[in-house]
Amino acid sequence: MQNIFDNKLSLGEVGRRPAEEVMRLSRLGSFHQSRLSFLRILLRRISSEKWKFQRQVFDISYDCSGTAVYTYQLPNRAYSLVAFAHKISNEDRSDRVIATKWDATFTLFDGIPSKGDIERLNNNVPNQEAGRVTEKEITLSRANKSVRLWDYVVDCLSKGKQPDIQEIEKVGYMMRTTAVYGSGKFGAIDYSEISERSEFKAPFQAEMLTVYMIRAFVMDLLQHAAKVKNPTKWVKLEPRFREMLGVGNSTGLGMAPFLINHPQLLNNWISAKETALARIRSLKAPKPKYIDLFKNYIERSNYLIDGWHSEHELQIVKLKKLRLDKALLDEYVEKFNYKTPYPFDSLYNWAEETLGEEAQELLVSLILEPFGELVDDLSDGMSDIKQFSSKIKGSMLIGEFLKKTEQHYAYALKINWKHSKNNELAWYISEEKLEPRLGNRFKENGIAFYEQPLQPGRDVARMHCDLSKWEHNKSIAEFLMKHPEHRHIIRRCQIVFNNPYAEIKDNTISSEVIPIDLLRAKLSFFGAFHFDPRSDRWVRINMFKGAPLPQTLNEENCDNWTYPTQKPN
Amino acid sequence: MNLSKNEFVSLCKKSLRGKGHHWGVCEDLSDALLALAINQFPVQNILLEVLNNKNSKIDRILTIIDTQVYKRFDQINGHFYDPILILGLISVDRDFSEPPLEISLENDKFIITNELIIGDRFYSKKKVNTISFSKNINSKLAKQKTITRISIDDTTLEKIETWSNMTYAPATEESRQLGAGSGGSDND
Repeated sequence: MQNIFDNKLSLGEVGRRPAEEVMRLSRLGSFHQSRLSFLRILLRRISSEKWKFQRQVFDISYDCSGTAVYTYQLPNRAYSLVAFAHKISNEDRSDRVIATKWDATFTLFDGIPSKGDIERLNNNVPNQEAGRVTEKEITLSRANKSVRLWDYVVDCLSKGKQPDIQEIEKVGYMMRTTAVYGSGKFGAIDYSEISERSEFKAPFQAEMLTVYMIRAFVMDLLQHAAKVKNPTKWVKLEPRFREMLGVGNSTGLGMAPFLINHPQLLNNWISAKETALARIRSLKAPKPKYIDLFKNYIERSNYLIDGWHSEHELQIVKLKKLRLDKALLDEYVEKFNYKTPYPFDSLYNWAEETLGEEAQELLVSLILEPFGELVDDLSDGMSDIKQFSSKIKGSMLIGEFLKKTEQHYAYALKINWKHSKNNELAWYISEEKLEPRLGNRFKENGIAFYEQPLQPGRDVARMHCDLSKWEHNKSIAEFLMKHPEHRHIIRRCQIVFNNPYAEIKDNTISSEVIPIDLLRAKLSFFGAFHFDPRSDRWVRINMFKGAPLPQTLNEENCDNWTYPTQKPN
Repeated sequence: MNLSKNEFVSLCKKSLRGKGHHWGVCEDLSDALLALAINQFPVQNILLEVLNNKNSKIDRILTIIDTQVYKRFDQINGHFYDPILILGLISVDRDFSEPPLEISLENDKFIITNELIIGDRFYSKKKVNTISFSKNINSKLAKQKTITRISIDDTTLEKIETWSNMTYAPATEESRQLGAGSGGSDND
């Protein structure tokens, strides 16, 4: 089968979905995790290379504060999670960037830390943004407890009993991270310095490794809390419960600018996924074993959807529609004739005509699931390791530039930017701990002055207006000499001309924009599920829920956990 | 303070933006400063010079990379302010696989090869009128390594951050409540 696609970029007979369809915010905000998600890539690597996991230090006191160190030994190097547990009051607990205290703080250390390293880190990591790390550190992170579930589970275990499975399912994690910084932030090593290491070639692998190791620490801390509460009666959490618990994450607006600011990277992510889908839709007659696997995943995905809860009106509506659509999909898949030529193309076309975007995107992820040998190689092309901004091709003629702009930014040139609702929001950074925010430019006094360049649609329209007045045989370099204010958007357009999935084809400052759509797109590529918005600007998610713990991870179970095999009972 | 490359670029972009440079100009100048920084040029002083110069004078030198005159001509004439930046701009604009290039800022010679910028690191002329380019390198190329951390002293950092701080909106209660979508307790 794989011979058909020897060339990584070859697509087969069915092409990729057009960017105009994929890159709309409502669709990006309906993405689901897939086998090309970054945490899945990480677990496949850990198991195939047989990394060895070890707890080096667990120096946690009776009040559950202290230090722990966990190490993954690779064939030729080691990485250690250095964890600090803290006792904080409820008043200090906040998931926002403006917080200054957390239940636990972490760093991923390059190697095995000495006592001196741990002491240095103890003086800095708990302070997070106010501290400094060094080139020996790769990430910096923190997490807060799910207070309700934490107290409940600790209480159960300390009394010698297991918690109620329904309570575990309701939340799904014991701690949620509120930031995982990498790429040179706060003194950590730059990504460009480690991007050649095979384990970090796919995107965000260090960040995913950090979260995976945090999960192991949280489990140990939880059981330690139960032990100190009742040293004679406590019991360990049963393995089935441990695997059910992932690591939560609370994400705000900071993630949205990232996607807009990294067009090449965004293109590489979406391009890989779309190429994967096209490869499978191009299979004329997939072998029965793949069909059977697909049907199995279709069935198991219901358990995942059953466990997805949200109290936010946006997600309640989406979930209701998803459940109705999933029932239709189940029925269709059951009766579908898989001997139809190009069965997955046929299935997808039906879904596109019949189902909402949530269910369509779920189907995309499910279609990818059985075909690891056909699509996993695409993860190699998902990074962007360039250290500098993309170069501007100043020799390009204005006529050609205008033509391509009109082709790629048709959506933006149709918008009436003078209408206040199309121009209502402004992305800015507050001086308060440099928190990214989104405000109403007409109501919040003065914020437009601080606006970040996160509205490519509007900026393209402005540039197009000026550029149209120039002779078509002049060059972009000549135009930029007179109009340096358009330099950023000229550069961006030239990236988009060659990378169809680099641009979000929607207005990012409209009064109707839903910022969590941007967050969800990125988080789905991380491998998150159970998206639970707390507002239109905040979302909580779960990572690694159902995944094997480091102690039990192997090549058999590293990829077969995202869809539960049975309903929790 | 020892900054990572990412932190240094971010500092450059924000301070240049705070000075009023256009976003795209900030991107290119920050890249140029990083190229100089990893070659151990005293970038904290160079950045301060740029921040003290008139924006329109700096904008003009970007034409050199937009038109790639360094590939097509042996010499260009004009008014080039903060000319040291030109070395950084060209270093980033070239492909590393291209043969070495000698750049003369009037009488001062520099060689660009791969990601290296070789020459007098304490060059401090504020303006030149002639720049020459040559691919015929007669001198033996000195061995030089790039660095991964950029050291900036606290006093200079404070001066630069004065410009960066101008890009942040003042903290208000309204912004705190509405801007980031606060509300609800995190003790659940």
